[in-house]
Amino acid sequence: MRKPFQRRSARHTETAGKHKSFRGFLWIVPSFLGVLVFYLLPYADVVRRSFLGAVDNHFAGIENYRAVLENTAFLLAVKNTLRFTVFCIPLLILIALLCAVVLYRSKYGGIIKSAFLMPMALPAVSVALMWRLLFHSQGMVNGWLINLNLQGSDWMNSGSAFWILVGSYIWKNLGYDIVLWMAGLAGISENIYEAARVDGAGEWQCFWKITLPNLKTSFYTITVLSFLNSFKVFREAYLVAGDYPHESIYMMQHLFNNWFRNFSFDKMAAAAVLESLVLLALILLFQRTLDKE
Amino acid sequence: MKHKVWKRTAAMILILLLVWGGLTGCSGSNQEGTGNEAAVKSAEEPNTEGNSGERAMGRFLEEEIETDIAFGNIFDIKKLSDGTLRLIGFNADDGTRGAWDSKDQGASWEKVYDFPEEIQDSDQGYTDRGALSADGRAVCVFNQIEEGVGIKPKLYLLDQNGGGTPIAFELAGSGGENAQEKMIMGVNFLGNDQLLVKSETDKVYQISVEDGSVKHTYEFDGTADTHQVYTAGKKMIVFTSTEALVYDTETGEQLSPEETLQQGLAEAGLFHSLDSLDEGESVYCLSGGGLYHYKFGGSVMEQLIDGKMNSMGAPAFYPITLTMLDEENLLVAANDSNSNSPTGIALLKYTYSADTPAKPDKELKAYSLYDNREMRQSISRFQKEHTDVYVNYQSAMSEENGMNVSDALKTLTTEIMAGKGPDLMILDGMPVEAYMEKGILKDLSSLIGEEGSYFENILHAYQDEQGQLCAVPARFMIPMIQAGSAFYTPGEDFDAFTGRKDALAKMEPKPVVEKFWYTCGAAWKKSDGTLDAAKITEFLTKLKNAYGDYDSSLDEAETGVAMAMDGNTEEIGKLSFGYGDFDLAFGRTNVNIGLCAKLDYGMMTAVNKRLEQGDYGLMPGQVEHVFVPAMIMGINSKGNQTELAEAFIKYLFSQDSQKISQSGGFPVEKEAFRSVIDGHQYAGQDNLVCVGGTDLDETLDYEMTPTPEEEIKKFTELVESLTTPAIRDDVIKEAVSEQGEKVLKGEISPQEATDAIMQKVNIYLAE
Amino acid sequence: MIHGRKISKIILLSILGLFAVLALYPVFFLIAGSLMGNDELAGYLGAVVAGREGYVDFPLLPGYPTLKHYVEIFLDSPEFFVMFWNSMKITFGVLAGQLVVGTMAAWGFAKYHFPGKKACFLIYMILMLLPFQVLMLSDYLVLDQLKLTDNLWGIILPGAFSTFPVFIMYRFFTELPDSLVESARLDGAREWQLFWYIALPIGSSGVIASMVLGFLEYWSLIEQPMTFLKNKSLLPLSVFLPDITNIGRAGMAFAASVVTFIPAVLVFLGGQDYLEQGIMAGAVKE
Repeated sequence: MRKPFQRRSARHTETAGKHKSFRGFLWIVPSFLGVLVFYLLPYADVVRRSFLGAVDNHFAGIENYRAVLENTAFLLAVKNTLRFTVFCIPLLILIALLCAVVLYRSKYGGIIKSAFLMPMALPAVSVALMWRLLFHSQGMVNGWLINLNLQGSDWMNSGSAFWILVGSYIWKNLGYDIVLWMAGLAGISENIYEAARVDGAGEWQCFWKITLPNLKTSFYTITVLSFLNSFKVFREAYLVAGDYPHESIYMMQHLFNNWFRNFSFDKMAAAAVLESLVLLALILLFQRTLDKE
Repeated sequence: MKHKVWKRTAAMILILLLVWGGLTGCSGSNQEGTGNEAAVKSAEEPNTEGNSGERAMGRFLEEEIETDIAFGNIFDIKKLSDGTLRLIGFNADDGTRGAWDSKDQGASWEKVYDFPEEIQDSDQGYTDRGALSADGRAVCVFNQIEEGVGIKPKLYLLDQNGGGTPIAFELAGSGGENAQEKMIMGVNFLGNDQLLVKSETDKVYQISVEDGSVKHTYEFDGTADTHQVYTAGKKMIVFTSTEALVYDTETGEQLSPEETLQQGLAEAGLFHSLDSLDEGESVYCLSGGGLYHYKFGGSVMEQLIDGKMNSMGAPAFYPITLTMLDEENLLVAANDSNSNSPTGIALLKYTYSADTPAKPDKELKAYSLYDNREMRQSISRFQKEHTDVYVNYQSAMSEENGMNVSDALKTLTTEIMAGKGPDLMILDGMPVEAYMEKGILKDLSSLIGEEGSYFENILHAYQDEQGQLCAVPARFMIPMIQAGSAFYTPGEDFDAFTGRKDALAKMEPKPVVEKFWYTCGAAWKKSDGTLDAAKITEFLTKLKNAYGDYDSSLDEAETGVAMAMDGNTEEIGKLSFGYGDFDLAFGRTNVNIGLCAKLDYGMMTAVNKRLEQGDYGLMPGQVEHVFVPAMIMGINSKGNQTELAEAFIKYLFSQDSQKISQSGGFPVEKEAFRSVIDGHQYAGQDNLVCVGGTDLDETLDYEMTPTPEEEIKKFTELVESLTTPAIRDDVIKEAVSEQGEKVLKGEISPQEATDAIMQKVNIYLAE
Repeated sequence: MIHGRKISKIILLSILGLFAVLALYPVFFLIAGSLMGNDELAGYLGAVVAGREGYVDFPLLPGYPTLKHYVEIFLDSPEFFVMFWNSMKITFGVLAGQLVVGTMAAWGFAKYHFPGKKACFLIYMILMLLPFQVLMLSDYLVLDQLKLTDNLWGIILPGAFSTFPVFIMYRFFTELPDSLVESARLDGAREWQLFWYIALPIGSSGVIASMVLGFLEYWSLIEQPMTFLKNKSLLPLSVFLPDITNIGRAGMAFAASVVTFIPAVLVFLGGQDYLEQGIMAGAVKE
């Protein structure tokens, strides 16, 4: 029920398809100005600082970059962050897909899905409180294990801290990703399946040949969002284990935080620039691969 | 379908909640806003708010009166009807109690009379409080000591010339059978002919001066801890820490509550003294926040003096009486152990100066993580001399704002970088070395060391290779040990000490580790900046040996500590040497170790007497001769008030400031150091008192005498021998104490603990 | 055959159901804790918080249920309301800003072509992914120049210009059929009319989805307020929580958690349908 618009000159027909002009930019101007002030300007400042000394602002060239790349704490943080990302994101995406397929069009799917969504609404501080009570060396998990005659351990002060963080991340984001996948599934027209079934395709064949290829764009969005959310797990790690957690969960943000506190802005800025370059490369690579397929 | 319905409902509930939240939030915050404005009008606000261009002028200035008489106590000061000032109190020089007059607004005092012989101190009793009326009569509380009965308080009325007559009044329970009611805790004149007498249970009797007959009695419900009773005209005003009650003494009825007074109380803090110039139409009240004026029935409580700018707000300031001379002059007698008065009883005069700016025009920002009482005291004195300076001192962890050290330091970092940081910092608990390295701190070497002779070894704890002195400890603590000869021989080293099994037995494990971290940590740093794992293992192994097996009953004791998720208060207080006196004296522990910040000679001797060949000395450790730098001062090189900050630092290192002692550490200035440890306040009085611990049966004979010369010498030599500053790096300390506790509890081996420590600390050191 | 599949489906579902209950465990835990008295809590949690021996043991039903902690929060702590209101201001301020600025930008990115668009969008994505800590200091310096530190606007404005909603809504708007837009244009519609009458109504679920996610994000904001706000009376609810966990009033911490949790849950439940339609509908190819 659109309103009938007044007919105007036919000039527009010349540019059929996408509208090519600077006019589009006008839509972005307000947002861009804000981004410029609140994000790009600070970012430019960070880039500038990456070539300067920490407090006295003398020109240091690429000295800071060298210092960062030789810094063992930095290397550890990079290693951990990568390890975390490489483990978590595929794991989360797969589990979520699995759940989504099972829950999709099931009678109780909605309720179960809602339950999975709840953790996301829990404030980080409450989650941290829970974690502390659960995984303390005298916490609940160890209490249960003792009841089962098993040996507990000091979870947050050993290598298992990493897996707790992985678990925490998946627990918090599973519902979110399930919703995304299910929405993706909903977008696949039923007709395609019917046509395939008529051609004698089985359940698995349908999944591989129809479902997966049709979820490609969903996959892109889900990956980016999951990646974005993977940074937020730092909040819990920080609230539970403080500035210097077990070395297996020492992330980039821990390092940034600690550098910040000690006025090491030189290293911090250099590391930040490096990180954004890596992000850029990742996004480009990811887009390229998806487009190719 | 059903699913959808309840989701809709949820959304509805949400909207309702938001609206409700918005409304209540709105009204709530408004209420609070108006409440704040109405209750207290601050001293800095000019009365003519319209003329914002002009600078507000006019402020009360403080001056300490140096009297010829060393008042050991002041019971009351009153402005009499003829304008003279009268004071009753105790002369500490000759030990007599009497009355003095001043005709020059308090500058000089002349003796009027001594108290009658029967109420001077003697074996029969002592006088501990009194009050004056406007016609010059006085009333005193004489606590008579009666054989077998105990103390029995008696009221004495003294006429204008000191002639005394007893008042026929006895507390209900006086005489012994009702023990609760046997002491008089306060007395005030109500007009010239009546008295208000407060008992131990905060019951107030309104009696006649002449015959002691009781006109009214007042009782309060017992929930509040204390009731301060004052009179103003015909009103009786009672303050608790939360409430202000007003009574009409004619009828004995409580008047309707004064909302504004109540709110003023909530903001200004408990009022310690009160006076009125107009027969109770309006009152002047004194609290740590300053001096406030309130007209009954009014909507504003006006702050006349801001306590932050003078002694009133200082932590050791306890006002005894407030006497308004007129609207622009007042006299305050206070118990202030940091005043110039040798007895600690100070007489201060405040005068309104119309041509002084209402708010000092220079602001010096000072910052610390933990509240520092010496700092507050010094600020209050510094401001007195520099009326144009306001020192805005903030300590991050004192408020209950949930900040941890890390968050506080981050905020500090942003502010310093934005050029809004503090000018002056007390660096205790901060990463001093990192700050020095990054050039945050200004070189102070030209400022320090002129005003007296200092313990150079301590002063130069943070000197760097170029000879720059960017951080200077104004005070220091000494890790000390006291024990009988079975567990400690003076001068022995760490190996010998920890060689005795059970030397450290039955102590709480975590503090033990932390205390020894101070005497050992400095030995762990290798020249390349990393830690020496072998030394840490050695440290833990030896400690465990000296500690022996863990006694799990100690756990129960710890449970009593309030549930705390995170220790936010400065831990160093818990490590104090004074904590373990009684445990050592009564054999609960074998040694007493800790950080000594104040020499308590009387206590040390008392404890030594109970030990077999007890002695004290420096705590053994992997490093010898360690001291813990405290109140480490630094100036922000990006600050705006560098010159002022330098002046303040100079003051902090002057004898005047160094002599302040609030157990935050020994002064680095030698003369001040001596005055802090020599026990001069005990000179002339050779008193033996009993001090009791938490257990009532345990008492020690504590002698209040000046420290003997040879002890002063021994202790001073001890300090001069100190060479190594302890590392005050909280990150390493945390890691060590957390793991060390587990070792002492026997949960993990020293080797495992070392690995865990190294793992954490290596990241930290690599950053 | 069909029967077997049904059984396996039921088994799978029940396993997932079980996991769902497990995922909800912390929620139950917090609710139970908020209803317990301090003594009861101290008894259960003593091992962790007071260093007592033994282990934490926590039943999901309080032995002596009490609403004391809620009373304490709602009646005895006026600062709670101030913080609640601050959270409201921040969250809705940010969302209102995103609603105006973000939708416009997303529309511009989705349906127009202009030089540098791709680069621009790439910058937006990188900025979205950069952790807060990276820009913290420089952000502070900029806000300081604008006199926005210690001011709620210092939190709201950067939030309003966040690039995250642009990313979400962009994906939605791109999938509006071009033909629809073009035909409207041929009918003589002005550009703002396209946005107002086509983009917004059809894209409403995408917009709502981005708002729901925005709500969650800004409702539990921690780092920004901690860095940019010094005045205690400006702090939002999300930082009130660590406050009481630290002092050790555990019961109140639990109750405050629950109270903070509820608005977020309601928003989630209310917006869930839109979340599903909104985020993905656009991203799926026909």
